[in-house]
Amino acid sequence: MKDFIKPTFVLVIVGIVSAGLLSFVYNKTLPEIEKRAKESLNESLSLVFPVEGVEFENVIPDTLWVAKKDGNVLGIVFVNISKGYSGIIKVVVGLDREGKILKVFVPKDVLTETPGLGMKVAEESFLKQFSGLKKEEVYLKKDGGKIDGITAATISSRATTNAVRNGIEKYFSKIEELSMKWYEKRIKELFPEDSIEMLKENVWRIKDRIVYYSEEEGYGGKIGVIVVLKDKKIEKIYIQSPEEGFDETEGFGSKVREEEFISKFIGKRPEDVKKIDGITGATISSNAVKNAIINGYKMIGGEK
Amino acid sequence: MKTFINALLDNNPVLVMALGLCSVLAVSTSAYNALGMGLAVIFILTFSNIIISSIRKVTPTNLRIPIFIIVISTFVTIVDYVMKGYFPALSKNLGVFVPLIVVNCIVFGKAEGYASKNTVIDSILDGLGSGLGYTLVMFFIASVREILGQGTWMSIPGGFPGFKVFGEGFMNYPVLMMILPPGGFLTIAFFMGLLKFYQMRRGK
Repeated sequence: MKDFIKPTFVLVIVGIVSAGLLSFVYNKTLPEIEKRAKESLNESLSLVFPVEGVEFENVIPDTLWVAKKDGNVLGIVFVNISKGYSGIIKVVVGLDREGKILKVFVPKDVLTETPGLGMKVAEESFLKQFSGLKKEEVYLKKDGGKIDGITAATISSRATTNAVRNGIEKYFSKIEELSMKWYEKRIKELFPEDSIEMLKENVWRIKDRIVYYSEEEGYGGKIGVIVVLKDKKIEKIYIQSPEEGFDETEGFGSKVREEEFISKFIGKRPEDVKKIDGITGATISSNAVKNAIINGYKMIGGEK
Repeated sequence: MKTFINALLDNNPVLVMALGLCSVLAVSTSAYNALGMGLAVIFILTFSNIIISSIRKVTPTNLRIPIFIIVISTFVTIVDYVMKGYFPALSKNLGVFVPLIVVNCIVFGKAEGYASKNTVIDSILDGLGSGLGYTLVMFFIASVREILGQGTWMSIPGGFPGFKVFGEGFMNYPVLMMILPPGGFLTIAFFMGLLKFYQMRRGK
């Protein structure tokens, strides 16, 4: 019995002391480790997107960031990989809205290419060639592009250009989507099949329909309304959802989003909207919706 | 003092006992990495020696291995955290070889072969000696490999670019093989021979 208790006891004590010590050190170093990780991430992001005052917003974890300045989308930063000579080559690329490369960065710490040869893809002298190029130019010179490969390291050089080019192909289309306003996205969702033609700002023609967007100050903030007209009559209206920034009082102003209120508009001409009864207890919100429809209609000048 | 010298030279863990060669080969491509790794091993070796020798009388014989592993891995993890927090570049370079110190033969061999049988003071000296022996040897090997293979000495990733030992012409076409594993084996063998030669001369 004694042979059994003593070893158990010793092992438990050793385990407890060790765990205690580790959790102490862990808590002490954790903030520092996180700070470093964030710093090095921000560093490489601003390295490939060298524009003063941009902020990066993560879209796909560890893969795609959108670079914004004063609310405007300036471009994206993406991470892509391809198979090199003896492992994976990872590239971090900054891309502007026209699809031009701002800068390419290859982190050395995950690079396993041959030192002195393939490793040179991480050097500035090779990477600076990418800046200013567009997708179709990102090939080695021997493949008809504009990049001088590294002597005796063609596989690594080609893999790097492939990673950059494929990344642009994968993520460039996202810029458009990321810089869209919520109502532009919503309209696309409402008419997924049809081609959308923009007539002027916030007015679109979709087949035989005219769609416009307008917003008006409500009780808790701006209320945005998308109006779909067919034969000059309202076919459909969509009111901004809370996720899209709608912020009226729950149970009162929020009722303007309910079917009961929305259905009153269907089939009416926009100029007749004024006569529709508002919601009791939510006059400001209902008026905002009505005014948005009327003012938006004035904006398009009643044109077809 | 004799313990210390013995552990450092006559029983040098790398050159005489040929322990921990894997990490020596992998890490000794640059002098800075070697120094960082060496300091980590000195710290871990000394402290795990202290703990293991001070609990040697209460350690049940059949449970000594798990206990050694817990003690060693505790110190390894501490070093890993500290390195990640305060020396991120070094930590990235050493990569998996820091956590692998847990199963480094030097640390484990010393715990089993020395610290569990000797007093705390002796164990400290033995730990410092072996650790220093490991570090010095690795530092020399790494210096040779870095100078010949890269043309620099003591370059720090993301910081100090290192002393340029040879001119630009050499930097562009260094002896690449020295950075690769064959260079590691050759250099280790060379140093082993050197120590043997010294010991034979002194013996006579």
